[in-house]
Amino acid sequence: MRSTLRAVVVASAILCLSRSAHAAVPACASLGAQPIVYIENGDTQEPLVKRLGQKLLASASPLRLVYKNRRTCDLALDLYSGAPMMNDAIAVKYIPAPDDPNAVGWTPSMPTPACTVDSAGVATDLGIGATYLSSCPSLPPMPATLAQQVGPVQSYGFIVPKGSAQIAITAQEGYFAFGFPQGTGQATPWLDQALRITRGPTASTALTCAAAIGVPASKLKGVVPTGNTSTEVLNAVANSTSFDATIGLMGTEVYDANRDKVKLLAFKGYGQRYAYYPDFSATNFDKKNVRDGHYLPWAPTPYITRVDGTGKATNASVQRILDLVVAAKAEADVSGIDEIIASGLVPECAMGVERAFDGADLALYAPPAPCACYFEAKVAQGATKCTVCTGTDDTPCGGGKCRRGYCEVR
Amino acid sequence: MMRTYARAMGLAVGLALVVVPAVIISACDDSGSAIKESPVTPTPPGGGGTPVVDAGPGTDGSTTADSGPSDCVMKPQTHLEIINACTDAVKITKNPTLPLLLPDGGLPPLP
Repeated sequence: MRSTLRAVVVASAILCLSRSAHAAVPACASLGAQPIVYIENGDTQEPLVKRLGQKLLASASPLRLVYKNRRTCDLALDLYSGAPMMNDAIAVKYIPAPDDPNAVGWTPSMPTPACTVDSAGVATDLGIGATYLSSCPSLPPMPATLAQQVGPVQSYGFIVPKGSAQIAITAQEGYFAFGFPQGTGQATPWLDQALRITRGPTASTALTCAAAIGVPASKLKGVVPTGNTSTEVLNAVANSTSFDATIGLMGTEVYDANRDKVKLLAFKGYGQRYAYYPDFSATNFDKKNVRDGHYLPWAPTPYITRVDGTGKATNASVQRILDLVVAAKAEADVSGIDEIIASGLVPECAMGVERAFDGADLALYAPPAPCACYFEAKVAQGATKCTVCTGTDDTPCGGGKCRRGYCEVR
Repeated sequence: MMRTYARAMGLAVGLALVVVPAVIISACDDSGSAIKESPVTPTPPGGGGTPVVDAGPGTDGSTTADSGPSDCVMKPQTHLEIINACTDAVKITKNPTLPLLLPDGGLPPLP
């Protein structure tokens, strides 16, 4: 009798939990009293959205980020055309509060819970792409009501299984491996088209990697996973048992969070004598070679939003995000630059090179308010040889300027 | 018994001292400073070059005054100079054999 009762109680509890789990997808608009910013972002930018979103929600002026992962060219078209964010095959997700029953103990390294938008959809406030919009061939001219601001730099690369013996790829190898169909490119060991895991031609990962090897993204010869996501590419490469023949395209911040699963190849561009990792070595996180021009597959992240006559975002909460991320500013309890760095991106102020479009030649770049020293100190495993300073006292900087606690060059 | 063992160990250590450096030296290319992918012998048809990885800071002999032809640029200005600028970062030599390259080293059009 007692055991029967226990079984009934347990079954009821399971049923209860199960029902609450099914009923748990809330309406995005009813998540709380905070203002909401609806974002469509490249999936490579999700780590930054999550990290920044957590800080914004916990800040003195709480702000909720609700977002959907979307390919760069697709999200840009949504913004340009005014297409609303809808409930569809790609989940709308939100940054949960610490006491959210759908995400107890949530941290940015965990999946975010889903919410539903109104059945008619909701206007997207901010688009965060992950490569040059000029790489989107079917994008019409940007409406005058919108503006693009250039955010942090995102690097990309070619990943292989942990068991692969390969450690580098040249641009020419990439051209023959990804530009030629099954068995015809003769770029050993990347001969099997079914083992080249790519992204669709509207995804920034495909666009920037393709530009680096001189192949139009629409002509990449490989397999696009069903959902066309970075996670699927990661899993396909990580789980492949054809170690040397398998290769995939990946944003390096996704790779950085999954270094235990796959390897990133060093890349040698056209006209380059050596191949380089994005970082100083395969084990660093400093993006040294992205910042100084030795590693070529990278692009800045465009932030697209509606603006007023002065160029400011019409939505004050969006302008707050732009100030934090694009201008790399810090509030008392939210540091845009710290979240950029922690997300594996490179703020503009830490870059020493620039380019005009995907695959374009590099030129030297001197940021007006450099932060290279700060970046090197703050990045994972970071260290800097820069002189430490305090406040705005430039005395120890020998002609340089004290910024964020370090003597920068100007 | 012990003496024989010690002699064998001595021979093994001696052999290792000769063979290991020889293998390391033979793995270096003309740059003498970069890390290569594990040397492959023979080179497989269609490429699979033999990348070599630089050991890091201070090993790039090209930056010294009397080291002969430079393989890096000290004060880069142009794109080609920037991507080949001198650096202490790890670098990898890889020059694969790609059968479809044109005789002048150019790329054939995509199919």
